[in-house]
Amino acid sequence: MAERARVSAIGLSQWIEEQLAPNTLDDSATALRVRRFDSLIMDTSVIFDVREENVRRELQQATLLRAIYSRRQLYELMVDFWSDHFNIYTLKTGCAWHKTIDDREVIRPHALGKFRDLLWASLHSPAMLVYLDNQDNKKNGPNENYARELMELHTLGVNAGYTQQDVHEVARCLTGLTVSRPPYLGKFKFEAALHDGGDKLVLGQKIKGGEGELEQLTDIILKHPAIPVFISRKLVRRFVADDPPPELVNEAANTFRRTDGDIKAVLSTILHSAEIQNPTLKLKRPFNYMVGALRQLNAETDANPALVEMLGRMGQPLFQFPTPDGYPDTSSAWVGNLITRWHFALSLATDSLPGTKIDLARLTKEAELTNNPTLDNAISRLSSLLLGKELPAQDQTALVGLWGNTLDETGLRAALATLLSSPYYQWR
Amino acid sequence: MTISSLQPYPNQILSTRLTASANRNILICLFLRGGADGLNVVVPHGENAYYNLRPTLAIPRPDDNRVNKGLRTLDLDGFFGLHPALAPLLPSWQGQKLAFVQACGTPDQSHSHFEAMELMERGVSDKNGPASGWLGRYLGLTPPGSALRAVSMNSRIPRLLLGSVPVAQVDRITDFNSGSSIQVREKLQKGLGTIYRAASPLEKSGRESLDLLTKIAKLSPSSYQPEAGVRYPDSEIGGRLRQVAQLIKAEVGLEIACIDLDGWDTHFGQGDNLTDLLSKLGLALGAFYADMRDYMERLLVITMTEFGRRVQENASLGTDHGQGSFMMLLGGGFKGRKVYGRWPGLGSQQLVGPGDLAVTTDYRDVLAEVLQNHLKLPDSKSVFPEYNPNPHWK
Repeated sequence: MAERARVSAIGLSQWIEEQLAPNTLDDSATALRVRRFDSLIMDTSVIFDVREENVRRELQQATLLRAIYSRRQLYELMVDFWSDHFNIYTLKTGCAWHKTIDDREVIRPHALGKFRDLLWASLHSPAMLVYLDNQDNKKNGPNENYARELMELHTLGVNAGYTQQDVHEVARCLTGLTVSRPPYLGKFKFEAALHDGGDKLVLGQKIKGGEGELEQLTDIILKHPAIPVFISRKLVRRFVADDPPPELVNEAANTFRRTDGDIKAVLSTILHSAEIQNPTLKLKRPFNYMVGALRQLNAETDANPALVEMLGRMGQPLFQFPTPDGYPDTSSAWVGNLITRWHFALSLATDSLPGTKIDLARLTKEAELTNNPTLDNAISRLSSLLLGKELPAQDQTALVGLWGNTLDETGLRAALATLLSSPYYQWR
Repeated sequence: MTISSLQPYPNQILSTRLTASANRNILICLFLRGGADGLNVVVPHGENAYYNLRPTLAIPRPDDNRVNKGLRTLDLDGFFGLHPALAPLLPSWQGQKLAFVQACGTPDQSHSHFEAMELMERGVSDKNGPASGWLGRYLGLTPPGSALRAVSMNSRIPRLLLGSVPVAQVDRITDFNSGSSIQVREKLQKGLGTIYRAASPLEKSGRESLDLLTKIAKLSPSSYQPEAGVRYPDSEIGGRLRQVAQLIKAEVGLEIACIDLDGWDTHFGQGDNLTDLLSKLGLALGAFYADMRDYMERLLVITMTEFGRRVQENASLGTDHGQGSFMMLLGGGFKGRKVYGRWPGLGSQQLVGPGDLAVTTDYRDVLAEVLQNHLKLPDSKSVFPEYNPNPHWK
């Protein structure tokens, strides 16, 4: 609501610029809301003393609160994007603690920075190294898990032309990157004794074994022509359409090349494009759906564990996607998830979620329902608030016919629940 | 892992039509999480080494007069016997509807819950291979059925069910009917009935969800009447099996039900803990067997666990992670009253790794037969692409 008002005040284009410079937006109120989660600021010397389920839950709660309340909305969207791109499964042994540090030191510092810095940070992230078994990737017993995902999911994309031999050679480069006491404790460590110091040949280019090897590897991968297109396509898919318009992908990829992988610049190209003005329908992912509803209704929430649990039931328990490709980003993956969404809508509209409350009185006032307390009027007002447009007349007539046109609190709450549960609200 | 091996995240409730499939066979899979101690479940009371290695934890021989009869092994075949807490299973044993596979498990030697469970649920031998679960793949390979075709009775969908076919979570459906104002809920449900009407996949899925809500609402647990004289225990597993029985009798097209049971990681104080776990399991399965007698030919209950436990007890009156464990089979369509599997022995030369019971039957040998004989899948190869089942495990 607040951001909508801000857009009206300064114009969309200006608002995008503001969002692309998150540090210029004062977000101390959100910082205050997440200050109670001690584990967010703990380093490796103490974080492992926190119980695993608590450390996981605190990050989930903080992520929800930031998405709901932060003024830096675009930044939080990008944190969500990169959390999928560099997915960590926090139910894997050790990863819950490491993920909190990964979120703080890899994803958040670079979410709108240079892709190279983000990748470099991820290459040194204990969360990623443990998640993709790099502690088992040794000179005499290579494990190709990380090497493969590094190319397939993090940088080049599948079918980008690299071979199994390239995967093997990259795995050799990555030997020795580990955690000081895997998998639970410790921080990043380069274990020289486990490292294969021989020369390697990656994507047709020679890497001299020894110091600076990882830099050489990163350079070679980042020079590959597939990266700008791969990253741009994923971003366009997230922000614009399941089937990314190729012209926009090209334009974004050009920006990526021109700016040496400046994420902010690539986003700017996408957000100022003509295509984003006419996005195709895309199904909201559960996180998106929940956060959007809470924001639009100005709900007050402390991100109670019940809310976190509800999100899990809707199919997107944060940081718990088992495979390294992250939660799916296309509509078809989420079509079948309705009962749990309806349950959330019903719980929210009836204030049945512990720690979460909507302000019905304020809503009544804002929707100007006091003067004209009919269901018909309530549906019109709430539709324009939640859907940005009218509900199809056929539906509105049917609902009024079904429930009667007199508006009481039950009717208002039911109208809210129904709109949040409607097919129209599932799309963004 | 390659992208092609990944399935869309299937934490979705519906996409198939809500029609009861005509009397397909039913598989109920109980996963004992934590690594169940097969040696104290299907007790090798004929093996001296068992008693030497477990001076305090061994279950006394059936004829050990020094202890109360209720604490002794219940003999099955002269060599193996049942933990006494499983006495409620004796009628099914006598009725030839119960069998065990001893020294059964995975080739995994990590002794890690996470790894062993993951490999077992995916039905693979190492990190390569499909990311989906073996039951998930089975569902994807067979004709679609009811929206309640595959259900998880727990609050999460276990990995073994993950695949391209949506799995229903019963408590998520029933939860919808609790915890918020009834008036608002009824209005909502009626309202959605009128606005989910278009032909899009989303709206179709919405109508199916509404159907499912109606159907489940009629199946309130309090309305269920088991067979005369049958009482399900109040334990969690008792409640889950009671709900499964209700779904089966309501003929909603249930084919696969998965139930997780936690707490089998008995590193400390195993004696009482295991007795408690087994007594809950035994009472619940005993009631289920009595309640479902008329359905037994269509039914199969199996247990799985990620690994067994070290043969020698540890210093905390418990046991550490081991390898070979057991599987239980309860139902129709196979020869019961038998302990299957080649017994590897517990002599020092016969143990493997740090002192574990060897695995002589790969769990997939058993599952391959379950898939082909019970679930009528023509070829289990499609579910276990990289494994050649040994048909001679019996």
